[in-house]
This record gives sequence, C-alpha cells and structure tokens, in this order.
Amino acid sequence: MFNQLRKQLIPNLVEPEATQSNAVIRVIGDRASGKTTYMASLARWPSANPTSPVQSVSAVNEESEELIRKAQNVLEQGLELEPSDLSANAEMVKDYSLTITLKSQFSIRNPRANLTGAPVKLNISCKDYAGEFFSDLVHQSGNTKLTSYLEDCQQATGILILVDGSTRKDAEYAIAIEKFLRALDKSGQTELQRIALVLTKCEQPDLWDKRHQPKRLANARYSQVCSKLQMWQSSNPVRVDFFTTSAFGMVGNPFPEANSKQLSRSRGGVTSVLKDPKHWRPFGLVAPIYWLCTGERHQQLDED
Amino acid sequence: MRPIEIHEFSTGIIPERTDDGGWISRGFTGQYMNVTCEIPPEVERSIANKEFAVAEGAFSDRPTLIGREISGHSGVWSVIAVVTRGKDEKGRSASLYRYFLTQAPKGLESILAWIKKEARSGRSTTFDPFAHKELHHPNRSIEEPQPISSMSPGSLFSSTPWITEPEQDYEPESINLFARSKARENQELTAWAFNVEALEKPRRFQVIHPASDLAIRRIKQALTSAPIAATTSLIDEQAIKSAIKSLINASQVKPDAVQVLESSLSSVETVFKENESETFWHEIFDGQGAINAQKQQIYSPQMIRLMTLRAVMLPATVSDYLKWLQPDSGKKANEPCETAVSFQSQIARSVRPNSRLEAELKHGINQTLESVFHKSVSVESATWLLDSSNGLWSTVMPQMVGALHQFLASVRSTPATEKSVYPFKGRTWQHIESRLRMPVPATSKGDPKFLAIAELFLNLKDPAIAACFYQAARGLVPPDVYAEARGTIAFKNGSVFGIPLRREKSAVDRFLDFIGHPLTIGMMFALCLVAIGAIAFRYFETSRNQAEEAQRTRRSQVQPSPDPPITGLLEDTSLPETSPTSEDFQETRRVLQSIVQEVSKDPKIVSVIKTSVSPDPVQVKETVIEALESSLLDRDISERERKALNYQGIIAKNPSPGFPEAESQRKRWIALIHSYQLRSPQLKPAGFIKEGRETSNKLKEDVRKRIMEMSPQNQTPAPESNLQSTPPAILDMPSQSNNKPN
Repeated sequence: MFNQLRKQLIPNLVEPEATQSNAVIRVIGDRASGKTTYMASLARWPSANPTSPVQSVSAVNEESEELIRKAQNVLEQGLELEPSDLSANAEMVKDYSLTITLKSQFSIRNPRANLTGAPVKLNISCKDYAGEFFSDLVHQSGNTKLTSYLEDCQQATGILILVDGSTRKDAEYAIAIEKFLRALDKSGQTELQRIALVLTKCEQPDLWDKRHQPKRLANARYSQVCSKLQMWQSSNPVRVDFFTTSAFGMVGNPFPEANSKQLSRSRGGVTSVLKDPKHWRPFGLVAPIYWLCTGERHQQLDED
Repeated sequence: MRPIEIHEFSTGIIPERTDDGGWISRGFTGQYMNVTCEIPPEVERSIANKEFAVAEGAFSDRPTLIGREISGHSGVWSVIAVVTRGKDEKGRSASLYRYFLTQAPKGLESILAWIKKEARSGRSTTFDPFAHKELHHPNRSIEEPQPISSMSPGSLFSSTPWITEPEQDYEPESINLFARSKARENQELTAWAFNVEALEKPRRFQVIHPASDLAIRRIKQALTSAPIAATTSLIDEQAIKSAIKSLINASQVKPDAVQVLESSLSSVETVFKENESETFWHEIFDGQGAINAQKQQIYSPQMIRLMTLRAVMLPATVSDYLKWLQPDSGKKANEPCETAVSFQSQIARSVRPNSRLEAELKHGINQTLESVFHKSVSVESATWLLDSSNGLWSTVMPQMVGALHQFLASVRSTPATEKSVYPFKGRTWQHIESRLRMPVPATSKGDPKFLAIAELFLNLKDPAIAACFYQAARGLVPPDVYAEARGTIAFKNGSVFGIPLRREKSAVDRFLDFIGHPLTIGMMFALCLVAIGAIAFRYFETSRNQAEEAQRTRRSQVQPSPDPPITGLLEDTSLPETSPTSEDFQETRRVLQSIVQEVSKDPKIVSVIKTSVSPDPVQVKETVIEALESSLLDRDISERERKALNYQGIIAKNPSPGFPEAESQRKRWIALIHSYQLRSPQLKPAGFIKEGRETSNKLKEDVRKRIMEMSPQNQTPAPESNLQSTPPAILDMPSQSNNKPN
C-alpha cells in the first residue's frame, strides 16, 4: 500500500539501488534431516505467495541451477532426493550460490526497509554438507576429512543447523553440536557470526500449530541442544536464534493439511515426499537466511 | 592363456544386513570400499569429472554399465563401472558404483568377458558391500575376450555420440564394439554407456545405449545444453572448478590453486582453438556465477573474487570487470573495490616473473588501454586498475610502461616503411603510430580520441607519455604537462621520444601576447586619447558650472528672496523631508485637474479670459493652467518654465512608463507645491495636495484671484514691493527676460 501511494505521489521516482547483504553459510544436520530438500525448495521457490516479502530467488551458479533441476525432476515428481554423497574433501562439496530479492516495502515490522524503499538483496553461498559429517562428529574425531570440513567451516559467517522437528535425538545432537563448536573454536580463527537452529518438516501437524513460536518449540523438542547453543552464545561473540520451516508446506483451505506423503516414521524422524506439486508452497525458508545475512528478524518472513 | 588382473573398488557405504539377507546403507563413508589396488589418479580424476556419473532422479532396475579407456602416466586403463540402486535405512535410493579396471590389452573386452563368466557362475558383479575384497588381491580372468572388429550398424552411426534405439536388443559387447570402431575413426579412447537413463556428461561417449524412450529425450536434451568443456576428457574441468572455488571462497589465497589455473591456461589452449578456449573459460566462470553477478549486480565477496579471477584469466573481460565494479562511481567507501584490491594483492604474490599469468595481466592492461581509447572504460576506472598500490595489474605496469616508451621512441626513429614492433596487439596501436608519425602542423587540429589516454598517463604520473598523447589529441601540450615532461629524460629539444611537442600557452603567456599585440597597442593609444579628452571635458564643464554658481550666488546676494530659493527644481527647490508616495501624487494630480476643470467652467472666469486674453474658447483652459502654475510659483510663469513643468504630460495624464523625464518633472511639481505650502503658514508643507483640504481650497481661490486680476478693471500698477522683489527662478538660467509685468 505504501509503495503504491509512494509511486502515485512521486511518479518519476527512480528506484533506489538494492541494499545487499551477504552470508557464507554451511548447512549441517543429521542424515535425512531435510538439508538438500530445504536448499532445493529455496532455490526452486515454488508458488510464491503474492503477499510474501520475497520478490524472487535466483540461482547464481551452475550448482544452484542443478539444484532447481533436482527440485523439478525429483521433488515435483513426488520422489525423494538421493542422499548427498560424502565428499572426501570439503572443497568438493557443492556450493549453492543464490540471490534472494525482497520487495521494497515500507513497514515498521520490516526493520531493514529504509525510507528510500530500496529492495534488499541477500547473496548467499551455501554448502550443504552430507549428513554423515554431522554423525561423524559424534563417533569420529581427528580424521583428515573432518579436519578439512572444519577448515572449510571457518569461512562461514553463518551456520544453519537443520534438525528434523519430529526426531527424538536431543542428547545425541547436543553432543554433536558441542563437539562441532569446540572443534571449530580449536581449528583457528573463524568468521562465524550467527548460528540458526532450524526445525524442519514443520508441516507435521504437531509442529505446524507451534510454528510461530520457534524458540519455545525448539526448547521443548531440543532442550539440551538449545542449552548448548545458548551457553556457546554467552561465552562467544556468536548469536543464536531459532526458526521453524517446512519445505513442502501445507495445502487446502480452509482446513489445510501437510502437503506431503509420509513414507516412514521412526525415532530418527519422518521421511516424506511432496504430495501436490501444483500447490507447493514452502514455509519459513527465507527467514533464517535473512537473519543469517542481516542479524535481524524479519517479522513478515517469519509469518510467511 | 595367462590370467589377466581385474582390479576393483566400490562406493564406500556403511552397510547393514537386513532380515531378508539383503543390506541397506547407513550412510556414505567418503572413501572407496572393497579396493584391490591403489586407485590410479587418472581414474579418480575421470570419476571426479563425472565421466561415469549417471544423473540423479533417473534410474533403471537393470544395472547400467559405463565402459571407458583412460590414459594416464601409467598407461591406459580400461574401466567398466556397474551402477545399481541401493537404499538407505530411511528408504532413500542412491546410485552405487562398482568399478572394474585393468591395464591388459583389449581391457574392456576382457572385463566384459569376465563379467559374463561370473554371471554364468552365479556370482554377482553388481555393487555388493559385503563382497570382502582385499588390497592387492585382484580378480583374475582367463576368459578370451571377444575379437575386435569394425562395425557400422547404420547411417546414424556417423553422429557422435551415437544414441542407439532402446528397442534394439544390443549386448554390452556390441555397444563396446561400435564405440571402438568410432573411437578408432575419431582417434579417441573408447567410451560407451549401456542401459542408461541419464548421463552427466553424454558428450564424452562415442555410443550410448539408452534404457528407455524417456532416456533418449533426457540424453538429447543434455547434449544440446552441454558446454564446450563437456566435449573433451583431456582437460580436468573439475580441478579447474575446484581451484576457482577454493580461491573465491577462502579469504586467504592458496598458491596451489593459482598454479592449477595457470597450468590450465596452457592445457586449454592446446586442446581448443583460440575462440574455443575463450568460450571454455567463459563457460567455466559463468558456471560459477560470473554472468549472473554481472547482470544482477551481485557484490558478495565471492562474486568480487570470481570477477577478479575472470579478468585475470580472460583479459577480454577486464573492461566488463571495471564497468561492473565501478571504481569511478565517486563513492568514498567503495567496499567492493576494497575487497577486489585485497584479493588482487593476494593473487599478486603468486604471480611469478615471466609466467603465463604475468602475460595474461599484460594482455589485461592492453585491453584496458584499448577500452580507454575507445571510451568504453573511464579514465578514473583505468587509473584505479593500473595505479592501485596493492593491485595486481599495477605490478606489471612498470614493464608495460617500459615497452610503451620503447615503442614511442621507435615511432620517429624508424622509417614508416619499416614494420613497427608494437608493445601490444590490436589495431589501436597502428592507429596511434600513424598519428604520432604525422608532422606537427598536421596534428595541430588534434584528435580527441587520444585525450583519454593522455589523461590516463597523466594520472599514472608519466608526463612523457601523457605529453605525446596530448600532442596527438589536441595538437598542443598543456603548459603544466609540458613542464613536467621537460623534466624527463625522454625530453630533448622540444620533443619527447623524438616526437615534437607544441606547448599550449598559459594564461600569463596569453596576457603578455595580448599586451604585445600591435592592435592592442593601437587600442590602448586610442583609449588613452579618449580618457584625456574626457578629463579635459570634465575640467571645462566643472569650471563653467563653478562660474555660473558664482554668478548665481552673486545674484542671490543682490536680490534676496523672501522664500527659500528654488533656482533649480531638482537642486535648489526644497523637497519635503518625507517624499510623497505615488498615491499622494496621484491624488495631487486629480486635485489639480479638478481645480483646472472647475475654474475653467466658471462663467465669470470664462468671460474674463475671453475678454482679456483671447476670445478663442481653447485658450480658457490653457489660461487657467497657466494661472495655476503661476499661483503655485507666486509669480507669472515663463514659457520655458511651463515646458519644464509639463502640465499636460505629468498632471493631465499619467506619464507613460519609462518616460525618462517623468520623475524629474514629478519632483518639480512636488517641489513647487512644497514651496507654495511653505509660503502659507496655515498650510502643511507636505509637497502634495489632498482633496478638500486647505491647500486645495487656497490654490483654487488663488487661481481665481489671479485670473480675475486679468480683468481690465482690475489692472492696477504693480505695487512697489513687487517691483523690488525678484521672483524666484525655477530654472538655473536667467529668468528675468521672461517675466511679465504684474
């Protein structure tokens, strides 16, 4: 509304240059926690909500273009993505470069939008580590592969820890995260500024209802993980925040249900595939990226 | 027959037995398993370059076979990958590879024969995590391989890769033979794919046997969009990509990665033709996001490093780099430029003298100079690139300047017929040379194309080169540049590098020239004469005025006036202290007009005028006006004084705007009225007349009285006092001659 009014009042207004925020991100998490599906859904950005503050998500490099093809050829066909292979060297891990453009909006709820109404561009370079890296943190230490990954993590300004909201592995993940953070600390100087703990697969009914209280939900499901992260935050110049996402989202109105077909469910979490590709609208994918890039929460993205 | 050794290795997983005797994966290990030999590096590179990779999301129930010969330092390896699907504990499918390799002659045929024999024996050759293979314990085969013969199964066979029809029930052995036949024709190593749904690098095969019709579509689509790099196995594309990634993602440059890129420059050139090499590098950098960074104006540190690397490796993109980075934007804090310089300085440490990278940097400088010449890059941007204290291109700039000095020195010293050695490639330098060869009179008109280069070298603090290009650009060298060039060793007898210069005149020179010009002297002389004349005229004028003033003073001393003298309406009459406003004057005009009007209509007055002045009715009003003026003056007014007052122009009607006399005449009327009011103590000396007030009434009465006095019965000899007093003069000239007797 403000934009329209602004355009009407100042018809010859030149669109201001976009404000750019950058982040180098490493996505870590257990096997099948939804890391590649999260990235593929973000890159594909299907059926965008017209009221969403996100204007576009575009692939920058060939690996992110390949990710979009995967989303089209696999996820949209109702199939599961293959597990990501564990590369022997972190340099060989696929690095997805994406640019997310947010609409220029005037809103007191949108902290980054300034009076010039400049759109915000989030440039991310994001490596999606195979889940084996996370499980190796618990069971192995000091091998060359792990060292290579930890060295690679030093470049990251933000870590996206993805946990399947439906798993019951709090204690195990707390150990892995503590080991990871300690190893990162030991490995030398890092660029790390923020760690986002993201609960995935929130299309599950018990998670969906609480999606707008990510911190409470995270504390309820992963109290030990949260406490480790908060302890880390208190003793390091690193900030921690919590998010809820769903790569598949919901479908149906007025009684929406998960847009996913469940294949299996165990203590290790849920595996599912997309049910209705035509109405595929993910939830909350950009909110953690925005926070990792800017250090501020975007309320509209949280509500997206 | 002597047995041949067939080694193998498989994708590394953590397997777990299932209740049904099968297995599932509990994740990848990141290392190969069931390895019987040290994996040859060339084979590893081939795998890393996705030459065995089947694309994700498309798989067949039957195993896929990929056969390929790989050449390396240790000879040729024949490798066959058997690709099958496996599942993990989450139910997810993954492509799992079991590779067989041998160095035996006719290796591919030998492996196929062994696989067939194993199948006949009931032993699986597909991926089996529990196969328990040990290092240095290869499989041994004594199977006789199928003889190699040329086969040409159809017209489509001529296209590469040849994609067979899935309905054709070919055996892997036939596909291998077709591929061998084509490979021999094309002088390549054999590569084929059997029963595939999709391939990552379909161009790197001679024959592809698809698993389905859908597979044909996928493969053909992949072929149309395949980049040029996909056509050859001779370049380690993944190593190049890894080196680029390593350089753009890390804040610290790894020299090894720079060396990988440097050595790739030569290997790419040997494999491809010149244009194809450029295409190859463009595809590599665009694949990492260069094209999108440029189009979408993305300035993340990764993209800044990537664009910088591209400008190094592809000198033709230097101008795009500068246009994208905008060092000339005038922003004080240009963060992207700072990131770029920091990266450049790190790369600079890995550039060895006389290396290939150094040559590329020189090409980049040449490109920049050409772009400045053609104005596609601004002088400020080029200065930033070539003069940054920590920059990359600036490190080779001294060599380039040296080469340029040599070139410039050779321009005039070698005959035009001799072929010049240009410092850089490109037509621009021929153009520059021909311009600099021109004699000075021919260049006097100048060619603005050269101006930007001149300014650039001035910024780069090389006044000698700058002076040459200023000469070419403007036909003249600015005096400050000339002065600086004069201090260089290239300057001799008014020339730099033997190229004659013409110094542009400075402001001081131009002033001195102007002063010394005969026309100026003539004009000055004329001006002096005019000035002397003006002074003389002023002197005489002042003397005359003083004489007249003295005369007037004398007169006023002899004939004292009872009233303040108003010898000149502007100078001598006293204007009221407060000047009447324009409205006051307008009202005064209306009052005077109404007095004239009223008196002119009085029958007694008309009768007196007709009898004593003129029977002409026109004279009535004129006589009344004259009486009015005389009343104000308190004596008979002369014709000259009447003209000066200009009743018709000032009182009867509004003076036209811009009428030059109007203001002075208006002031005369004000002074006149003021004098009139001063004479009567009951009147307020305001200099204007208000309707119905005392001045108006008194003046009306005075006018009547003055006219009635014209009547013959009222004609009496003038009183003595009147004879004695001299009427006040209203003009600064003798007035006695115009005085009428009362």
